[in-house]
Amino acid sequence: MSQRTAAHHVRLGLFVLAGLACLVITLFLLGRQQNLFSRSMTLEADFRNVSGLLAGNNVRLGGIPVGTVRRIQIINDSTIRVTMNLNRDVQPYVRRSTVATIGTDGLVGNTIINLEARPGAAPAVQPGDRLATSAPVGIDEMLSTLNVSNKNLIGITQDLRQITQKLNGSDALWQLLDDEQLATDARRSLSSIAGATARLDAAARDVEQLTSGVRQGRGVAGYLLTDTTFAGRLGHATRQLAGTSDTLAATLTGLKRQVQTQKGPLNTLLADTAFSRQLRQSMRHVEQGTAGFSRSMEALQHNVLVRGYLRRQQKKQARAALSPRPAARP
Amino acid sequence: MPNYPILALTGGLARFASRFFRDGFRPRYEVGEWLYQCYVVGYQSLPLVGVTGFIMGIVLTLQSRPTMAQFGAESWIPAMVGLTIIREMGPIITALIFAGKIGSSIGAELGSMRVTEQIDAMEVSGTNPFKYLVVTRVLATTLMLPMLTLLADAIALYASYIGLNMRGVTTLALFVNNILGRLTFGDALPAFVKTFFFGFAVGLIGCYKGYYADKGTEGVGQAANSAVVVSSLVIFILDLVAVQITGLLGLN
Repeated sequence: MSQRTAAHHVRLGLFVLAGLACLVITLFLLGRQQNLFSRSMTLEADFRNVSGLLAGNNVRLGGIPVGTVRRIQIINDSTIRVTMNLNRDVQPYVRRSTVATIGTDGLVGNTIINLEARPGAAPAVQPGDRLATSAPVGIDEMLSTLNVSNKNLIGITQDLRQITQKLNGSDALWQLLDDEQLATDARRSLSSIAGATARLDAAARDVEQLTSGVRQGRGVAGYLLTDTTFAGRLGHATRQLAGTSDTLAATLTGLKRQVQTQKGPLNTLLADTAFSRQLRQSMRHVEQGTAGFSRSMEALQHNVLVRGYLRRQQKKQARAALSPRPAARP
Repeated sequence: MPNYPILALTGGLARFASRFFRDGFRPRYEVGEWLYQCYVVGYQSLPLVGVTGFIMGIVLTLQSRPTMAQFGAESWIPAMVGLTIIREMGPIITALIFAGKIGSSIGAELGSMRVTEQIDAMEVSGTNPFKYLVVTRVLATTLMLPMLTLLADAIALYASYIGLNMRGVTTLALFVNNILGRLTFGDALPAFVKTFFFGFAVGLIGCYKGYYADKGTEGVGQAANSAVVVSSLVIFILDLVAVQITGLLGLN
């Protein structure tokens, strides 16, 4: 009996141990999942809207669960403070610049907090730090934006409708579109434009030939522009001209000096007032002399000695005056 | 006063339970008999409970696969089956099987002892039959049913893992992580705690029905039968109460 009882006790002990082991393992795994046994640190984040977040929801860093939500408090009407328990092991990887956002696990899963790293260096967080947050794109905001877009679309389509109505009602436009003659005219204009451009092209080619000829030294302009001996001659002529003008300048300088000399004849002629008075007196004397001479000559005409000669002279003059008329008559 | 059997049963059970608490915690303790009852009630029920749990796990997995595949949610089968087994199916199926096996045997054993006047003989010989027979059995069922449920859960989950691998490939690590990813203390602990009450109900009702059996050998059969029926009903009622209480505690 006692041996049987001992065997019973061993089996019973194994049975109970197995059952308790299942319980303990399950509870331990659950506890480890919720960071009950690892060293943890708390972080805070202020949100405007936590979209149904509950205490115990997961906190993820780069998609990996690193902690849980510990407490959710209402600070004021627009601030919800979420306290998170994070595993100590991830402390070096959570930077001060990390941004916390509210997200969902899958399309219809639990609400979670995502910690997203931002570029740039920042020190690691310390327990009790408050992280920055950013509001996710909410469906409500998307819908309100879409509402504005829809209103704009209505305006645009209304305008388009008015435009098409006006276009439909416009006779001129339709005549323009229906007119086949117009197309023919347009085609002809285009062909004449093509001809004009062809001629323009030929003219341009001529100009090109001319310029190339000039460049090669053919023709007058080319000779002028390219002949080096001509240029040398031109330089020689210019130098001669310069010498001539130098000589002229020297002559003029000499002349000027002579004029300015006080005793010189030219200066006397031009500047001496006494000389000009004497000259005027002399001229008056000459005048009186010529008047006396004129009287003397008239007296001479009445002289007997020369009267016959003068009469012959008068007759000869009269005949010369009559004769050109019969000569011109035939 | 009209005769309501259900009220009489409830009152009798309440008095029986108060007597259990009054006598059970006073010396002298029947440790040897309690350990033997634990062996009989727990260890010897394990094969039956284990087979039940295994089939439950594999059937749940295979049955849910077509529906989940329609939704493209085959990866959710471990989580769904795991939650179902741990929260509800494991405790309730194990308790019902336990009631069928242990409740009936206790009822029949105590009933036959009653009708053959062995219990009266115990009282005459100076042994407290309530302590020796009832307290040891009720304590044994109360403590062994949670153990059986835990082992049945483990076996059922392993069976579910086998069932998943019959139609696809899932590693054990992924399976465990899938379940643990969805499981919380709120799922596991209430389910564990309520099995104590299930075990207590099975032992108490079996003992009550056997202890107060009468009408000879016919009464023994009646005691065994009604012990199973009533304890199964009480298990469901307790389950309903448990779900309400966990809901009030915010653990659902």
